[in-house]
Amino acid sequence: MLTVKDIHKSFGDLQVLKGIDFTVNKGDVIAVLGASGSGKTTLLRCMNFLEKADSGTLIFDDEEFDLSKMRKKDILRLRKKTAFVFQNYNLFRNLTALQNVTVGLTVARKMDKKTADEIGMKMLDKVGLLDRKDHYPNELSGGQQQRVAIARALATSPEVIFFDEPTSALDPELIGEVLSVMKDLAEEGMTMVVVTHELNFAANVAKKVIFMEDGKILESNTAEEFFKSPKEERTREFLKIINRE
Amino acid sequence: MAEFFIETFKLSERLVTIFFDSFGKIMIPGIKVTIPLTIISFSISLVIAVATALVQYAHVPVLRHVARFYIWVVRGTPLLVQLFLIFFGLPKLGILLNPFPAAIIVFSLNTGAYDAENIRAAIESVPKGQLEAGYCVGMSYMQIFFRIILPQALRTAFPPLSNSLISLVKDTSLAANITVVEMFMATQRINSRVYEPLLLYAEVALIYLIFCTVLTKVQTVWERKLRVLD
Repeated sequence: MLTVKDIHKSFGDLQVLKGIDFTVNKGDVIAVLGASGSGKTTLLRCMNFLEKADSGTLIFDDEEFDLSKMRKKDILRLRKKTAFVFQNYNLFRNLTALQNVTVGLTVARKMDKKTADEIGMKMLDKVGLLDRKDHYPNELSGGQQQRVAIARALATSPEVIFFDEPTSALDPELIGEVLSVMKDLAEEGMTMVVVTHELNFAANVAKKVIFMEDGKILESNTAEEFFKSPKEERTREFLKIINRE
Repeated sequence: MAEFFIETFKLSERLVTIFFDSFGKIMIPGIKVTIPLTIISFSISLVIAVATALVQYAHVPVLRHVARFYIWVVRGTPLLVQLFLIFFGLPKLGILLNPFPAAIIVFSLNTGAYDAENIRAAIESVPKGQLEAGYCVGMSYMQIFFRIILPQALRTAFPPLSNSLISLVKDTSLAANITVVEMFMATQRINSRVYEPLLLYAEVALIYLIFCTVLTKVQTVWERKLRVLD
C-alpha cells in the first residue's frame, strides 16, 4: 500500500536519514524503535510531508511520487488518506473534543455537520470519551487528550495512521489507557506505523518491528523474531538497556 | 458681604445651567459622530490588521514587504499629520474627500497598523503544532489559518486590541481639526459662544471618560469569558 525508497534528509550539516526503504502493507502494525536521535520521528514526518525530504520516492496506492518535488495539490490529496497522532496531542485548543474530531470532515472534506457529528460521536465513544465531547482540550487530562487525538485520526477513515511517540508525554499512569485504545485498533485491522519506546506494545501488539540507528534501518523483522532472536549486536544491546530501565 | 454671596450664587447658577444645557449638545454629536467614527474605523482596521498580519505570517512575496512598509510609515508619522495629509493634501491631486470619510480612512489605516503588529505577535504565539495538526486532518493553509490559528490569536490579542479601541475613542477628537463635527468640535463651538473653557472642556473630558469606562467594563467581562477556554 505504502512504500518509501531511499529517503534522505539533513538538517543543515546533520544527516538525519541516510537512505531508508520500507513498505507498509494493509493491516500492518509496525513499531519503529531506536534510540533518541536515530531519525524515527523525522522518518514519520517525511512520510506525511511535515518535513520535506531531500530525496526519496514514495509509492502510495500505486502512485509514485518524488519526495523532493511534491506538489501542494498532491500533498493535500495524500494527507487526506493518512492521519497523524502527535507526541504532544496537538488538539485544536479553540475547539471542543467533538469539534476536534469533526473539523477534518466538515472543513477539509465538506461533509454536512449532522453526518460529521454522528461519526465524531461514534469515534469519541470508541475511545471512551463520549461524555467529554463538549470539553475543551485544556479541560482534559493528557491521556484523554491523546485519546481524542486518536478519535480525530480515526474520523477521516485513513488508510494508515502514523503515531509519533504517542505516550512519551504522558504520566505513567495515563499511558495504559492510550495503549489499550491502540491495541483495539490493531486488532480491528487498522494499518498503523508507531514510533515508540514502549517495548511491551511493540512486542505484544506490533506485527513488525523496525529498528533504526543513526539514520538507517539496522534491523527489520516480525515482532516475534525481533524480540526472540535479534540479529544485530546493536539491537541486542538496545533491548538490554531498555529492559533494564 | 451678602452681595458677594449673591454674586457667587448667580455665577454658579449660570455655570450649572451651561453645564446641563451643553451636556446634550455634546452628547448628541458623541452618539451620532464619535461612536460611529470609532466603530466603523475600528472594524475596518481589524480587517486591515488581519490581512497585514496574514501576508507576513504566510510569507507572501511582495505583499509582506508592502505590509512592513505600511506599518513602518503609519507608525512613524503623527496621526494629526496623517489627517491633514489626507484631508487638506489630497485635494491637490484632485482627490476631494468629505471630512467624515477622510477621518474614517485615516483612523482605519492608523489603528490597522498598530493592530496588525498585535495580531501578528499573537499569531506567532500559537504553537506550530496547531498548524501541523491542521495539515494532518487534511485542511489547507487558509482553512487552518481562519478556523484554528486566527481564533486562538484573536483571543491572545484581545487585551491589546481593547487598548487600541479605547485609544481610538479619544483619538477621534483629532478629527475636529479636519472639520468633523464630533464631540470636541461641538464643545469648542459652545465655548466660543459662552466662553467657559474650564467648565466645558472638563465636561467633554468627563463624557470621554464615561465612554471609555463603559468599554473597559465590557473588556473585563469579555476577558473573563475568554479565560474559561484557556
